[in-house]
Amino acid sequence: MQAARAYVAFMMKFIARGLCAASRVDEVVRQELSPLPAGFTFEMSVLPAGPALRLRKRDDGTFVSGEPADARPDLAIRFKHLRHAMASFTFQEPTARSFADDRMVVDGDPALAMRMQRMLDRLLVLTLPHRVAEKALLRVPDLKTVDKARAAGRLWKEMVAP
Amino acid sequence: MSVPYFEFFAPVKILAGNRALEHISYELSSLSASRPLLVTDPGVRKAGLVEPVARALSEGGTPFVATFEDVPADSSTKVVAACARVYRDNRCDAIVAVGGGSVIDTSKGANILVSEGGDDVHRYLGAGALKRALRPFFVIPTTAGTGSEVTIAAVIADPDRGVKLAFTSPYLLPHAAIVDPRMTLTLPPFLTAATAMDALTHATEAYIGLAKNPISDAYATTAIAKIVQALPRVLARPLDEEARFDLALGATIAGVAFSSSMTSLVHALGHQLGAVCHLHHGVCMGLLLPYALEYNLAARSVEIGELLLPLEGPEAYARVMSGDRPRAAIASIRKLRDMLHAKVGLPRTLSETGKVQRDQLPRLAKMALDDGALAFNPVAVGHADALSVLERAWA
Ligand SMILES: [Fe+2]
Repeated sequence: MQAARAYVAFMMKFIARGLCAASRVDEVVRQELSPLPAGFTFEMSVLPAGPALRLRKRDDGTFVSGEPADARPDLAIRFKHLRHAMASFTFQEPTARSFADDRMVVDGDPALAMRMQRMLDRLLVLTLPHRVAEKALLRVPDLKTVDKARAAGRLWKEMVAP
Repeated sequence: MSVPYFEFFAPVKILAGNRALEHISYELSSLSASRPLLVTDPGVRKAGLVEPVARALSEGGTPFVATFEDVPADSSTKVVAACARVYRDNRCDAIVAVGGGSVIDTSKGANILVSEGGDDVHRYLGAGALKRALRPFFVIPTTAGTGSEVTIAAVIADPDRGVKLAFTSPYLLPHAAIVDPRMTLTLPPFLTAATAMDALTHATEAYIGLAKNPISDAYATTAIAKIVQALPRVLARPLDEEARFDLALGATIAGVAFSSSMTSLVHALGHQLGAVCHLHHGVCMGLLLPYALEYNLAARSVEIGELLLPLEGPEAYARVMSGDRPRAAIASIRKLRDMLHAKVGLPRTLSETGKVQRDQLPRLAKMALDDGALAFNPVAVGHADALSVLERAWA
């Protein structure tokens, strides 16, 4: 349980960092993010009080990550149990499957949730090895190898930058 | 593949069949209610459908004490607030909705307000916002299509912000859904066909979606068989009570199926056609269904093949080799679509509707990507995919 908790917490950090970096350097994520208003907040958490991440869209159009606050986020994805988050984050099943199976509660406008899902998918495509991505997604988009390598390189560079 | 997990939740009491309306008074009193508010719209009134309900309730000793009849085709937060006012002004203690999707959703919204207080329904948006049972609430559908009488959702437009608010809560479910053959007897042929295609799509999408499960499958296949058998009978003899009842019941059963397993690509695309081009929801469903099924063959050919059984019956099913069943099932739905075109003029293609411009398709496809129903489609759908389905439905 301790290990699972630590792993999920690590993945939350990874996702938060990845989406923040992608919001600065990845064209696909930037385009998805652009119609959302500045101040938009997204939270992903594990019930009842597990690891969580919170992202906010800044005035400059990029994500900044922070601790969950009291104010209700515009969109929240909450895993109903640590073990469900674990199954998702170890890519045993696609997130689409976890959602369809009611492993999580989505609180907020469904259109926002779909948009956020596309950003998360993009992050996974760029950061996971192809064979892992195939488990995490219903379909891994057919990117040209060079394009993917270039986009992934940009993203990784931004993610590890201090 | 490990053991799957699913949830199934369908606690609506269904009062179905002959003299079903005459059970409402008893059900009201068993919930300690005696002052029902009628919520309906002028079309339902004009079709003479209020009269049998009002009589059944009067004779049962629980007459309507007030009526709210101003429900437009697309309900709004303002309408919901006005409806709640009428309820309060007349000290009502129950709501009886008689109508289609808009009347039912208005009633769901009004029930939130009269139970929880205030006149701003926004406060109750979001998962878990409602935490306890609402006031006694009964739904009598008059369109045999939406299935809204057994679903946890209500869609209410917010005219000030120009958005549609989607409420979902198990507490929005009515205490009972009443399926009485009298209530759909006079639905005109075109609307009968369109709403039946909506119901058929609910069952079909529930059966092939990501959230399908063995319990909703049983509802879905039962619904499909009922709908495809009853629809031609209803169109041949509109006043045939038995056929009308089978069709209405099929629609409610389909509602139970998709209240658990949700809808997918057909609805994601259809919602946009409704919003942008003002096509009737059921018309969109009928013309998109075969193409969305073709698209989903990639992941669901076995399941689509299984649909041949409820669509065509056991003999036809047995005659077709298993590998040919998926195509045969889609062909069966196309045949139904063509029959409805010949009989009542239901458009078969987007171009035939006369309301859609071909250059709108890319935008419609883009909008569909934000539709929550897409989360349940068994095959991933990108912009090019959504557009290809629309293009194939064009002509
Ligand atoms: Fe529908």
